[in-house]
Amino acid sequence: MTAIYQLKNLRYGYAGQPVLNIKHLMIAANKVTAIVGANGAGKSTLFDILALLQPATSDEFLFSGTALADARRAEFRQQIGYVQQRPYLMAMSVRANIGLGLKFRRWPRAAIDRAVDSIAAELGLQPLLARPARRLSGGEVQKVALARALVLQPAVMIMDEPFAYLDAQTEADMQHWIARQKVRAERTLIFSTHDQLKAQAIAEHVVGIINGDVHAAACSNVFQGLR
Amino acid sequence: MTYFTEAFYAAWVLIFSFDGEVYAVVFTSLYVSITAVIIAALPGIPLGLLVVLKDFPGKQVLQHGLNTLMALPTVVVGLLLYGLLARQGVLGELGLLYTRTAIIIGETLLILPIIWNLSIAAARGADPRLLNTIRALGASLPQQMAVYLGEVRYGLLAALAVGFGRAVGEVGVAMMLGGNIAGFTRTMTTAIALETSKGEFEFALALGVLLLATAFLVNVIVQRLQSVSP
Amino acid sequence: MTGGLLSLLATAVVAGERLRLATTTSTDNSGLLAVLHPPFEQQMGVQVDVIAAGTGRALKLGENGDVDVVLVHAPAAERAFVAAGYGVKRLAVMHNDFVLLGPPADPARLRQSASVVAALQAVAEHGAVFISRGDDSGTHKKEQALWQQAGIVPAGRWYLAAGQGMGAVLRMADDKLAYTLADRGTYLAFKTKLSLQIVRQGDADLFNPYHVIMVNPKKHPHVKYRLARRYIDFIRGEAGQAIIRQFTRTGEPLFIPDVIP
Repeated sequence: MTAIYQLKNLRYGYAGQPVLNIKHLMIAANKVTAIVGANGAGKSTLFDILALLQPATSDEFLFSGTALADARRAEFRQQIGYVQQRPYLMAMSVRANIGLGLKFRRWPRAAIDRAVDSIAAELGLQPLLARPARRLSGGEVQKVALARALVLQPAVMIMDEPFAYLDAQTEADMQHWIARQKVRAERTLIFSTHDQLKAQAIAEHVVGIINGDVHAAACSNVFQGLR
Repeated sequence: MTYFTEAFYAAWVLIFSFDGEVYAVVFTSLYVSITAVIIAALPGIPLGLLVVLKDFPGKQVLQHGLNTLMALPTVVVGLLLYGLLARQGVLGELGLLYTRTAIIIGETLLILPIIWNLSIAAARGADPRLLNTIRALGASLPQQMAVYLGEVRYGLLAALAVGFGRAVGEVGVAMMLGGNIAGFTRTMTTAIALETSKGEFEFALALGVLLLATAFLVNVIVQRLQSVSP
Repeated sequence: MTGGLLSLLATAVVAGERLRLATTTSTDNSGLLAVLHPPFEQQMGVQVDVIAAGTGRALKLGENGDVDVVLVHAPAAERAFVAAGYGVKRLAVMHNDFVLLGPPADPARLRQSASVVAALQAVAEHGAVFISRGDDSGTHKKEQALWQQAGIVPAGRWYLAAGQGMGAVLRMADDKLAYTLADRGTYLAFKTKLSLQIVRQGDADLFNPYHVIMVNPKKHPHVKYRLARRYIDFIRGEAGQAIIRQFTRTGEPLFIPDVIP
């Protein structure tokens, strides 16, 4: 089994307070991994670091087997799609939002439109394309943000709390989509949730995060366990 | 109360008399202030965004410096530039002293720290998720700046409005560097100072009312532009 | 009789009172008041507050009753001020004179002119840059009167109305290598900073008399007319006139007393 991420002694603090202190973390390539932890356990911080948006000190940080160098950070970042918790959409149309990353990559307009149409079809977003993004429901926002990341064809998709604030239908759609990714096994999927049962049901690997460190969390109950 | 009624009546007459001299003064004020705002905004806004989007050493010191410069007295800017632009000064050859260009240079220097600093505040006021969102989508620094330009445009327009207000309402630079020459460098504020020194208090106050009316009109126009843009 | 009246008035003046004097910027800038007032203030136990402004504003302050006494140099405006009933007892104090200044090269050759009026005509003919105070000050009024005598309505690219005080106009004329009219006092005060030189002086037309006027207590009952009276008596009296006579700037006398020469 190849690892997409391999970290040793990763430390991160904010305002003098340690937030993360992870002795060892390995995330398998082309698998679905769930990170489970209570609110404030450091999940979002860990995801910012995995998405290479937030530097942290570590003894080892391998991405796809290669040591992370600052100079190559932007290059590696191109392979990572990131959907934040409560995603932020620009004050533009849904189409413009989904095409934004391709625009940053300086794709021609027509090619962007084709790519956006194709991903919108896959996620059932075509009826929304012309709508202003700021007028969408929570579930629609989540899907548009997913489309915006997926259109860039990332090797790794990181999703922070993708099931929070979703209506039942959208949540079912999301779980279905993740299940398909699992079958295809072409992309690494990392998502976080505070729901242990959901994590066990959907993911191939489950990692628990408690007090800033990770544990093989197959059996632990994060709500009552070590606290 | 006659003092105020006389002043407001005089202001009314001023606005609707279509007096050439009064309009020349209003035009000069608008011309130098708006030009100064444009020139100061060109570096001021990008620099403001850069401070927020890029990490570099000395950021804190820069921030303190900008905060201090916001309190820069206009006459001090006038005095500094006078030394440069006067015939014996380093730039005396250019013959810029007592021209509109001199006022524009002074007011640009005066409002650059304001526009810069308020642009920083506007960019900091953006949604905290914005920066990571666009960085995750692979935006380069110039692309990040372009996105911010759109996302925080209301804050940036407010920065420009404050800069304009400071430029159009200041008297020190316009007096020192422009010289209050009738029909050429006389602005609304130097005209007010002059009428005050002449003892024409009602007329001076009327000019003050005219200045506020002009500033109000400019702000209304900017507001319109805001609501037109998507 | 006079002595008895004076002592009577003296009792009416309260120590610690403040007398408000409006005067022109040029008078205040000359530094004369700084030596003229302290002896009066000590003698009376009062304080003289000087409000320096252009002649127009100084008279306006008197008109509104914001000051008790004015000391200015614009005869026509002063006469109008008294005629309108705003002031009483317009009395001569001293005089100095105006000078016509220009760049050392004197391109319009004013030094060769026969009179100050002829000099102004030469300025207009040459289209040499002339900077006017343009602020309704005593100096500006004098300048306008001179143009009128010269039969010229000054206008055009060569005539710049600065709308500023004497000091600022001197610096502007210096920088622009222009001509200007100035009172001798301010010119002497700025002389070392300027390359401007006197190109015309001494004409009777350049005479610059200063008058003191008490604000009319009938118009403004609150003015301190008794104290104003004492002030006028002082600056027109033996001691005041001596101070004016002895006052010099860079070694040159600035004012010539008119009551006791």
